[in-house]
Amino acid sequence: MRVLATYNIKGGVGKTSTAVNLAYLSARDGSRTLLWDLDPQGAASFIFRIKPRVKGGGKGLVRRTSSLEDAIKGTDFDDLDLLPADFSYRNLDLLLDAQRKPVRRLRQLLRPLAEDYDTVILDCPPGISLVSESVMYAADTLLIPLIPARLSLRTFDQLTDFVKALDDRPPSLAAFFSMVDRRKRLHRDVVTALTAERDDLLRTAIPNATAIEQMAEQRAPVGVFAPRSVAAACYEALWAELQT
Amino acid sequence: MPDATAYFVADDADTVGLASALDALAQRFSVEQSVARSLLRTWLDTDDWLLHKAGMVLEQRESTTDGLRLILRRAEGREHTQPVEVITWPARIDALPPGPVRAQIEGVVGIRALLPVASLRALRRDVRVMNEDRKTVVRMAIESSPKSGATQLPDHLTVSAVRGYQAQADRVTARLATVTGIFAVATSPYEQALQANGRVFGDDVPTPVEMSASMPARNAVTAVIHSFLSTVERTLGGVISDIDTEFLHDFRVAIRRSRSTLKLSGDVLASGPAEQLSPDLKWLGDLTSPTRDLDVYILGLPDMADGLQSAAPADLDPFRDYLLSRRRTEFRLLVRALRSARFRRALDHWRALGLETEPSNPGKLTSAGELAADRLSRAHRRVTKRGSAIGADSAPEELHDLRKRCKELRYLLEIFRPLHDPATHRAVLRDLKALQEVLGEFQDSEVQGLAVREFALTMLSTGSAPARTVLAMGELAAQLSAHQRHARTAFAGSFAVFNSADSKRRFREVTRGSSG
Ligand SMILES: Nc1ncnc2c1ncn2[C@@H]1O[C@H](COP(=O)(O)OP(=O)(O)OP(=O)(O)O)[C@@H](O)[C@H]1O
Ligand SMILES: [Mg+2]
Repeated sequence: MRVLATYNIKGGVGKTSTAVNLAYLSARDGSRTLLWDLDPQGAASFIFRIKPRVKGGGKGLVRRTSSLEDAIKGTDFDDLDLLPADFSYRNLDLLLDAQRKPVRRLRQLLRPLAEDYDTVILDCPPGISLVSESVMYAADTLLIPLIPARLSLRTFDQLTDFVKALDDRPPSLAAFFSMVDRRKRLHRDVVTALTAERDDLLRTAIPNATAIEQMAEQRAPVGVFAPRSVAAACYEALWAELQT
Repeated sequence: MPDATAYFVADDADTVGLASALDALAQRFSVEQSVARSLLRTWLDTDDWLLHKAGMVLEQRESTTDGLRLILRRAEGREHTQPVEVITWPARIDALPPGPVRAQIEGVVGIRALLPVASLRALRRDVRVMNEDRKTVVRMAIESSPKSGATQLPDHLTVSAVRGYQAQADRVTARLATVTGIFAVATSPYEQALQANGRVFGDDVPTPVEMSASMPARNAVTAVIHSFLSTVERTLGGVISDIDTEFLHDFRVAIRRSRSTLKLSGDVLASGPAEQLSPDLKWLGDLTSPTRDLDVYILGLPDMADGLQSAAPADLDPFRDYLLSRRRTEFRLLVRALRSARFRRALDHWRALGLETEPSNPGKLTSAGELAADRLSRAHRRVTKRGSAIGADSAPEELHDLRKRCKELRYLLEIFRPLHDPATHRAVLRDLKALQEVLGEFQDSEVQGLAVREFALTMLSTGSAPARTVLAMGELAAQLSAHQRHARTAFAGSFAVFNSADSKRRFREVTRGSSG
């Protein structure tokens, strides 16, 4: 079972859009996939038309009084299931903190799913918290959307250092540019310069695209309602690059 | 948590059945249906239903839109799909391309071939039931089989919940239950197609022989031998088409058991037909030995190759090729014999056994219970007597002979099992099996060791064995003698257990049970 997680302390950078589209592509390739919407706002759940509600809430899951398996919902797509968000996830930090070895809890919770899933994708809320730290322990790969700006790279470098210092097998980092607006001079320059400069960034960039914006309207991954769009092709390329 | 699936079929007389079902649903739920596709569904399992026993359903689905796919459904409802090229069934596992379906079933089917057990042509429409967010919560499939198809099933409808939406599926099912012209059934289209094909799960096992202590011994023995005959008849086709090695194995076991039954209890039958059948059974036993022995070597080769210390497993490839070619030769001879008039005559003798009007041999043992008690205790005595006579420097032949006596006892126990208390029977069998295992290991490793040497010599003389292969075979022979030594050391211990006061007491209880 491979665990991927979208991660960025900044909000609104394309984490959820990435998680949703990659989960869709993973399942389409025949990998049994679970998307866990960890954000109490439930954006990923909303896109899959699944109510952001988990019986027993975050408390039940973290304390294991309710089972993760029972909370899982099938999406409209073969091989793709979703573990919905719940409003109570806003207290997930406190709940985790009450556990022994809080940062490892998430990984523990995922372990029994290995029988049923080949790929798990975690969609993280923004910010620095016990939740986001737990995700670093649980994930094999962090998917990091970066807005094209020098500052984003500084934050990414800090993250790289942080991850290296983890007292555990660190996840690999897959950072890529997100919401790239080719009409903006700054975006073009930053993307060209940094992709040439650095070898720790993925080659694929996700453009700023209306198709992606429309996901919340259509309530579906872009591959479903705009299969021939540039956005769909870019997520394909991103997914392919992650397999190498 | 298995997601319950519900099944409905349309009343034969009602041509609008399923259409009206959809209309009824559309009044309450938001429903969307796909265009109809034509499918050929073929279900597969091993001859001994290993997939079914593991709670799995394997289907090959051919459709104009999706091509050819294998679909595996596991007990808890998970499905795995694998697109494939044309596969010729029956097929052993290595004939399937690697992929998710093969990965799931590999460990379950092992050396057994997959055979088509049912098939169905269907025109299928997929229906989605959606909630207020237009989220699919229930999936349905509506299938009708063309009236010209081989398997005729009534039009049917399958309702499955999307994971996490069982309550919605239950509501759909409840609504459908009120529609006239369709009715709920407990069986899936697979089970219905199986039934239409005259198959039932577990039909590889002969119906157990009905036996009571008071029934005439002659009837009991006749029933037992006929049950073995039914196994021979059932497996014959699989042996001849070489579907997998286990058909021949089962075929042989049935022959051996009949032979042993005839030898140990045939005296209660009329002598004429029994005397006729005896040599037939010996012939059949001898006839099937070479192919089966080669199967055993071939099947055991990967394990033996794993145990090689200095040679590489690939060094044994020429040996494997040699075994396979010998097997082809022996198998051709076997098939020729199984198609001969002599074999047909043997089957006739077998079928006629016990059905003659000629009176059976006069004797004191008239009931099955008395016969069982007598033969079991004699066979048991033979084992304990010969076993006790075996010491540290007894010849190997004495152990081989003891193995035969153990087998006879084992067969008798199995034949008369219906007369025994199940728990005591199991305990007795356990003691005996442990002893048989040691004796089997002892003799098999000796025989196989000799055979490996003989194979090596033949291969050398025909120039088909490179030096590295002969060296590897030398290692195999050494491995086998180590096994044999190990078994020889273990013998005393396992015989002591078998010969213990406790074990003997259990045995007496079993025989006492037999005599009723
Ligand atoms: N490449 C893009 N092009 C256009 N719009 C985008 C793109 N990526 C994301 N968006 C839009 O930006 C908003 C935020 O995106 P998204 O929810 O994917 O980001 P996020 O990082 O998950 O946000 P949050 O931190 O709030 O969870 C959404 O309205 C989304 O439709
Ligand atoms: Mg988000």
